[in-house]
Amino acid sequence: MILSPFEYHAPTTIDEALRLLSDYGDDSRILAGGQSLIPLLKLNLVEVGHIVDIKHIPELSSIGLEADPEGREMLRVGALTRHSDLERSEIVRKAVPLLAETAAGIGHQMVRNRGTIGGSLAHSDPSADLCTASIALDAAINTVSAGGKKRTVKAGEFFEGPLSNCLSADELIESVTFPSTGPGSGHSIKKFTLGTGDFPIVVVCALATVRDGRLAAIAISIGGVGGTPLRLKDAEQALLSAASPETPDIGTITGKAASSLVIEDDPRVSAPYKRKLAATLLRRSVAEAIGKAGGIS
Amino acid sequence: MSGKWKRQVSFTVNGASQSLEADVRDTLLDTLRDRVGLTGPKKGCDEGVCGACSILLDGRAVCSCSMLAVEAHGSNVVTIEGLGKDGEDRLQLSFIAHDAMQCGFCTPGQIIAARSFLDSPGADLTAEGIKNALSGNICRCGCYANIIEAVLAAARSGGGEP
Amino acid sequence: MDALERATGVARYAADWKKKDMLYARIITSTVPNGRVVEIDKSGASGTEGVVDVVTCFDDRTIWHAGEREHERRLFTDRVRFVGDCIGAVAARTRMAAQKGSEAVRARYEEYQATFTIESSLREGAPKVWDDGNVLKTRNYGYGDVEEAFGACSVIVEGEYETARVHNSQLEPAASLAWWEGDRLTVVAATQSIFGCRNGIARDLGIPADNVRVITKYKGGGFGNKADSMNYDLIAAILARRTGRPVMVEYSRSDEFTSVHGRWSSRQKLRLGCDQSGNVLALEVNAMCDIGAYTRRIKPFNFVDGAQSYYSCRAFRGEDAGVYTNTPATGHMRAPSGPQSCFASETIMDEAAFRLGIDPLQFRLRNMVRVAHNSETLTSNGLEECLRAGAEAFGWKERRNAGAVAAETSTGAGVAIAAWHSRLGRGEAAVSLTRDGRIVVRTGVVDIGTGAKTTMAVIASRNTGMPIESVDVEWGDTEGSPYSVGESGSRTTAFTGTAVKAASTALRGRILEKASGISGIAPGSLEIRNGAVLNAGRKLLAVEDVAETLESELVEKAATEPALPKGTERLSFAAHFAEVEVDSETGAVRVLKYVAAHDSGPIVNSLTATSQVHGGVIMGMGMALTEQLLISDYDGSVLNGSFMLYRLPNIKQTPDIQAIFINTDDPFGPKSLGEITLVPVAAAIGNAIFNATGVRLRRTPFTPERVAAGIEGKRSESLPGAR
Repeated sequence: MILSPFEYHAPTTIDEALRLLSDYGDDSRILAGGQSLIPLLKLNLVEVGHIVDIKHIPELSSIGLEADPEGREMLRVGALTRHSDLERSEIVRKAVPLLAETAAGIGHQMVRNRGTIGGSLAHSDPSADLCTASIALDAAINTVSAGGKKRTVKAGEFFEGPLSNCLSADELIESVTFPSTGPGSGHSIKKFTLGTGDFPIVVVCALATVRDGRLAAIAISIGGVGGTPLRLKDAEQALLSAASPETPDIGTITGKAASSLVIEDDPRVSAPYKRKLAATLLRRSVAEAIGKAGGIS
Repeated sequence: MSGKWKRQVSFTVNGASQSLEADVRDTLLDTLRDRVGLTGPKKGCDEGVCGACSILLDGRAVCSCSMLAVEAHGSNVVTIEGLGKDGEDRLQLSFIAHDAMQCGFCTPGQIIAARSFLDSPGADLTAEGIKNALSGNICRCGCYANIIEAVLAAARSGGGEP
Repeated sequence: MDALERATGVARYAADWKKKDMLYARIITSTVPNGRVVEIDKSGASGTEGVVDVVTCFDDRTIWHAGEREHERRLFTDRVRFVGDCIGAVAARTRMAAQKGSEAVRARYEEYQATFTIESSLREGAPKVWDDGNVLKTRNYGYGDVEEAFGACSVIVEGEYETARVHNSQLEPAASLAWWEGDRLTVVAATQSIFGCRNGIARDLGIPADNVRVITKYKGGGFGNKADSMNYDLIAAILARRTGRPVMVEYSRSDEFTSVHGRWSSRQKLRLGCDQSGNVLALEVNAMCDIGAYTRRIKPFNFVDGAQSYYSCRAFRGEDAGVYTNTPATGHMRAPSGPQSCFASETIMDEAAFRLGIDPLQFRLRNMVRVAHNSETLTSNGLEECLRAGAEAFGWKERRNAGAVAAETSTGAGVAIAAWHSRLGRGEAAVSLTRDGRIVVRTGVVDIGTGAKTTMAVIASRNTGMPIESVDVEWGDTEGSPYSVGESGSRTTAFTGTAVKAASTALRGRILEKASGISGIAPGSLEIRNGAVLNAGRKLLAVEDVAETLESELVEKAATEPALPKGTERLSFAAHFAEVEVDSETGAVRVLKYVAAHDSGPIVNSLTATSQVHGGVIMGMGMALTEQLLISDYDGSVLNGSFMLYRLPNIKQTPDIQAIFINTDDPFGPKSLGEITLVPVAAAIGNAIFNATGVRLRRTPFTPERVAAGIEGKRSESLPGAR
């Protein structure tokens, strides 16, 4: 039960929303799908004077393809795109299949029908599926703030800590862009939860590209083990420059990556067990991504 | 309570227009149950986990406990009471035929979630697909096996359209 | 029956009721685990807009008799025994005002040292939960000379087993609406027993039972936690009397976890002895339960009724005890003590079979009970058929894992058996033929989801000869219903069903007499089939025609109370088979296939009986794999009192479940079913995990981390190069 009253605003344009955010600053919260904010309000963990519901701004809902300055195909999804939209969209499934698969595995149907990508990124839970996937996918987060000032932040630089990111109080996520996954690519998302629909204890995403039987590119991210989801650049590099490129020893490399993670106590599982989970999921995920990419010959 | 915490909310519920003044803090669930008089959606956990409060919001199942009534302004809401009059809905009949309920408290939410799933384009009409779609609806009586059968049967007989 | 109402959302549960001028109530609870309330400042609450009344332990001294077994428990207590103990309540015009009001009440406590575990409660000089000590009297039971029997054993297995505290968590949170008309009280309750609830309220409030009316039309599950008057029923009634207005008490989900009892945890030491050929000779059980600060009215803890009632055993000795702690109350939950006891005994049996190198199925066939408690004749015993038919349907031989732990996943199969009491007892029913030709059954039963209403209709239909469509069942209101013990202890079919059968049979006789009067043919030459009165197979007239001649409803009442002959015992039996897949790295367990074979006597309604089996298996899977009520070691409070953190079984975990019924011909008819379906599940799954991985789990739940630790332990145990 929400006990503290607030003023509810439902702007219909981005400008109007930005004006409200800039007027009320820290005393305001953006409401999108509400799958995190409403529970926080009901637990009376968040008390705020103004709620700015952005769901009536049509520009924030769209899914489309475009080309970046270098001519590469990019997928752009509006901040209000719901998880179930990502899951069902033919465009998303074809252009960035890891995104569609990630969305399909979030929470449960009712959460997916309501939760949005902008909301999930802005909430910045370090174990959230979409936050972790966005890092592996090199997503770019496009924001706009008071006065119409726009900027683009790479997902890898967006998250700053548990439930914290680089957005300012008067800034709004407008859309998120993802490079389309090219041919010869394979992806994998593996997660471990204690209950169906729970936030993951550990979640791992991998995206691999194989050309001529050799690993040409790989991106690996992990969520749930630190203050933010992490990209595992060392492991990626090790896989790419393995002594015998035909058969990189995935288990050893991902095992090393897992043992170098800083893992803190979690009330749900012990740190050593969490590290074991990380090692297992990393190995399985990387192997699956490479396998789906056609495998290394 | 001053007027600025109140908002006029106009929406369609089970085909009929509704307009009421809601406290901005009220959930859609409490509003439907207390103000509109529809007690089909149940309050099982009030935290978006059990799914007993599920309703169709513009055709998709959502937890009415996890949204504010004011968020429903301008929306089309369908509760279990609006699905089929006198149990003519095939999905409801299929739940009855397969004994897919015991205490019945979760049943409105189960049927709403199943309806949303069957209506979604490209739904995976297999037992696995149903398990994914209904994983947010807890049945403590443990009727899951029969629920899967009931939804499968409704899917086979044409998506359970009334 | 009632399925249409449930499926269309028109079924009215307690919280769905509304009354004009109704107030909402919230409880005020203790913030300290052990102590005394010295002072309560109500002013914050009284000053909250919308608050109408605040009642505290200093205003009302009602005793809630059903709230504790051995001691007097005050409804609002100043002697608090756990974080969450009720010290008062607030009634307000809105839910929000009630919430705010309850939060604005300030209590000052004198705090005592507290105890949160069995060990600390048993320690010398331990803090006292109750003045007369922390141990609830022990039950001792046995037969034969145990030491002599152990002396004759060539294999002796000993083990310690633990089951975690779990919670009923029926989906409908507690709700109760009460109002007074003069000195008459009406309570719309969410109870499993309208008469138990009525009598409890009358006793606690000191008013005649005739002045209390209890209505429960639909009940969103209970699994044992609403069998008598509950504190929220009393709180609603007391606030309604104080304010002169209807009062609704609604519990939140977190209130449920803290303020409504769950299943007690257990710690059991077992010793089992067998001879060389694998015959069980001796069994010893010592069980301790953490029963929290209060334990609801229950029979003894029943651990001694466990294994010895489903095994033949030359000598048995058992004792069990409850230990009070400053933690939330415990009480009835579907088969109280059953799954805890079965988990320990069916695990140690499996360990013995392994030690002896005997197939666990053969071990059970060899040792299963033939003569109850070594001396009593069983009225019927289908356990052997349960084992054989279950194993056949399951594919026992093929699914047993003979190999070692695989790199990523391993599968294995386990079996467990159980017995459960199937008592006989009092039932009352009235069955009548109305003037429009319908059969009306009136009982005091509440259908909490077991299909009892349908079952009663089926019994009435069969015994009157009327089609099921012509049968109505009226119930759920103490006004107009005959007495019933309510739905608990798996006895509805056995107790009330027997009365419905008797009344229906008598009614058929009355209808035939009337038909005889019309047709002139002797009643003995008439029969009723499918609503028609037949003579020598030919339809003479419809029962409706008989009904038309009636001046008023034709009513037959029956009160039945069959008793077991001396020296006999009546038990239901089950043999459960589970196949699991274990992730050798993460330790995650998935149940793939499950076969549950049951002897519950003749099954009246196989559709709803099958559903009971499904439900018990799913609930047992929760206890085995995910459910555990976590108690703080800092203040004894519940740490995971929400569905987000207390993980109930989900549709995704649903295995392929098959129910098999061995319709034994018990002389007293149907035997119990609802509870035993859950009893062997954790043991069957644990035994399957052992078969898959070689890891023996002696503690529930089998969390992935515990399973993974077990597998790691096995790996490091094995010789270098062995794998």
